[in-house]
Amino acid sequence: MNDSEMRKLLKNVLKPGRYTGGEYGQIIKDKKDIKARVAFCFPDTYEIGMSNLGVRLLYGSLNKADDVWCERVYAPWDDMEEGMRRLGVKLYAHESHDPIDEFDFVAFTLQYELCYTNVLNMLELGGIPLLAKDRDDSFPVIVGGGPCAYNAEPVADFFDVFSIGEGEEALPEMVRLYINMKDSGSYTKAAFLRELAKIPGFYVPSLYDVEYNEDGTVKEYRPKYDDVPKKIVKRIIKDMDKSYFPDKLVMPYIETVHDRVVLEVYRGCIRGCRFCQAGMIFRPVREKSPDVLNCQARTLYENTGYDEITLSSLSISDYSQLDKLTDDLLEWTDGAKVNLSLPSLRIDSFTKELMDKVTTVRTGGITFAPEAGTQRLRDTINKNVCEEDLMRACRTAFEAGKRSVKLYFMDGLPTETLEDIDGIADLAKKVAGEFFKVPDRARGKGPQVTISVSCFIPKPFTPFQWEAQDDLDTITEKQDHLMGLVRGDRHISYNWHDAKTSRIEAVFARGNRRLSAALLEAHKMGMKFDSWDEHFSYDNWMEAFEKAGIDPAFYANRRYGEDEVLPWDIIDIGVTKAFFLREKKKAYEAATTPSCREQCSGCGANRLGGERSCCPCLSE
Amino acid sequence: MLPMPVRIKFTQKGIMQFISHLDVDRTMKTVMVRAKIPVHYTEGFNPHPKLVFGLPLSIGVESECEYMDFKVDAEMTYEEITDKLNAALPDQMRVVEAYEPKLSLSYIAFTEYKVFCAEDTDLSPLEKEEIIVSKRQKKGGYKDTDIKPMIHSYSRCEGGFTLVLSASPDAYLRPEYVLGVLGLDDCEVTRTRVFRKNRIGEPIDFR
Ligand code: SF4
Repeated sequence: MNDSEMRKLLKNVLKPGRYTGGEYGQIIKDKKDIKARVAFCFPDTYEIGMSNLGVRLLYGSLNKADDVWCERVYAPWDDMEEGMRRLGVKLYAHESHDPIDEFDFVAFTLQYELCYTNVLNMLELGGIPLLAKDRDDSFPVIVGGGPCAYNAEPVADFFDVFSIGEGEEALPEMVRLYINMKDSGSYTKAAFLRELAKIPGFYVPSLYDVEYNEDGTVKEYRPKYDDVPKKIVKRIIKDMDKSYFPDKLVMPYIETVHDRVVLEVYRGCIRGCRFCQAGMIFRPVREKSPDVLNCQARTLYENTGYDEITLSSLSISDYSQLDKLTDDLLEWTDGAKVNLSLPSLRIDSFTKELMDKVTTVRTGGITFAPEAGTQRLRDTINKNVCEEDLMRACRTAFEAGKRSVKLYFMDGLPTETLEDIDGIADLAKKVAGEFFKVPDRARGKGPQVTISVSCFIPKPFTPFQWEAQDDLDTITEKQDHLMGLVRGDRHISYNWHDAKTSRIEAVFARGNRRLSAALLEAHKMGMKFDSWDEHFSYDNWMEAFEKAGIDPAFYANRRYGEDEVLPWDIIDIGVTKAFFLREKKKAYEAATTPSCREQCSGCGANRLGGERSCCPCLSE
Repeated sequence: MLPMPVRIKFTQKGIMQFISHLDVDRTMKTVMVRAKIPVHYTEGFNPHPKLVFGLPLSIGVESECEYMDFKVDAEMTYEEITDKLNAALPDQMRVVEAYEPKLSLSYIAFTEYKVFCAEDTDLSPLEKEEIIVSKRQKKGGYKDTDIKPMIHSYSRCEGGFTLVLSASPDAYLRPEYVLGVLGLDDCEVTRTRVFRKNRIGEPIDFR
């Protein structure tokens, strides 16, 4: 695309800076030196995609090779899509402005299920047939990765291959294999995919036959050839200190969601909340050393000019050297006028000292996630916090002059009763009451406690993977019940997540290959950007399911059998099914499991290896 | 040591024509850090690096002459500042020169644009006594306005024509209003020069 075409296209769109490329830090290469081109697609807006840490890492690690050029692609918003279709402009990559169907690979990161319709729309906008079986060798290889790839079955028909697990090493290996086969003249897509399937961490769905039982459950996954693995073991980076780290970032012109340095402190999680997929799929914990992190933070600050650094990981206060790291950082960040922020603080780690160190805690809102309203249910989900912890943390915040606290909960959790919902209201009221006990509390208005309630979604690779989601009526009833309890309390405000979106997420989270038919229908109906309220339409989804002959309740509201073949059984994340079953059983007994730092519970993830991990079995 | 006053003249080409003024402002803040130029901060409750910009630039217009003023808390040469900035700027923004400003940027009164279009484009609509367009007001909303007094001059040149438009703070005319009158919505436009007023109100070069 040339400048004048671009001008026509961008003239009337909102935020043209979403579509221009040309940012400082983007990687431009000379096409004549390039043997493989990768279009790395984020199936949501630029502002969200540019903030994604995984994309930053993979963009850099793929571009390390001189003969590989990886570029960025995002989903165009409605106004831009309309212009592209009108002017016949195909979806293009930001660096070269070349259409994506000219690339060797088109890779999608699948961060949430509700982006699937965008994937299909982007393929179409790129002039690429949606179904893998309809694409001959002249089309790019379509690759999927990210958290949803752990159960990619609902989109399996659209992809040639999925990269399972962490991709910083795996994706460059994939591209190298491609280049080697092209160089030796042995490349056909089929031959390439067959070879690729032998590299650990690559799942080629077309190499497996899926058989179903009469009741619609999966009977068997059968590799079509002997040299195709029966199970795909996820890839991990063993030593995070040595893992690829970008010393530069692409600097967006327009404001993005996380417009700052994001420093990944460690991978994995020592906890093991039973609803949390991230806490399981990223096991085992692998930490970076504080010295390495401090040095990387400094480099990134100097090379980006950002005035904020976020320390990121699933539960930052569980980092074993958090004090050292924050002390080291503060030695230079204060002078450089750089703010430190820590998301995901655990309730039991919230102290006055930490508050003083962290700018965003000092100046921003305070958020805690007790997740459930009663101790019994918190034990069931293995969220190891108690009411005293929460009260102490809130008191600390109030003593420091805060008046508002936000509390995250989930409803629809397994074994939940109305008593647990009552518990949510009780907790919120107690927190508000705590405010008035603080002698030097903020003057003027009283406390503001916000309770924010999302819906439980049974996710693959969790102890709750077999559970049923509450049906819409039950959820609505629970939401109304809670509303009745807090209505009229001027210190408490209540917001809740739309249960309908959560239901669609649940369908796809635990879906099998049959769901691709529903996605095709949804795409035909023009559906996209389903994670955006202004686009999401539950009725449209029901229509798409109906046309495709899919019963959403079969996936969302059914209790899966413990001996049933699960669609995601073909993937091995290290953590074993036996562990999930043990955890499920304990959940029903409201028995907790200690964190990995206290005691190993033998989940199996230590088989994968890992440096600076807390698996005792590994460091011994 | 007193902070050293600096004015830079910079270009915005290619995709930079689609980046809003506000975003260029944001970009410059990080550029200064990357370039390791210690910009003098504003005083007061919420100190921040003080960057003062010249005229806003319309979306869809390139420029050879944007201006920004700041002060530096260090001893540096103007060449050094130019080089450091160019290493830290996106490719399609370049500093042409850095120097000590003599006149405030608010003296800018006219700007010249080059419009790339067919050389026989009919410019007669600009000859009318009155050119009424619906013009956006500073305070919001639109109002029918005669823009004729704000069009200082125009002349044909190779590849199109040039326009000199009023750019004083109280009568800033965006080029797109003139292009709209001529039905030239899709052409390439570049801001080429800025002027201040001489004693009789006529444009002379601003620096
Ligand atoms: S092997 Fe043990 S310590 Fe390691 S992640 Fe699993 S439960 Fe935790």
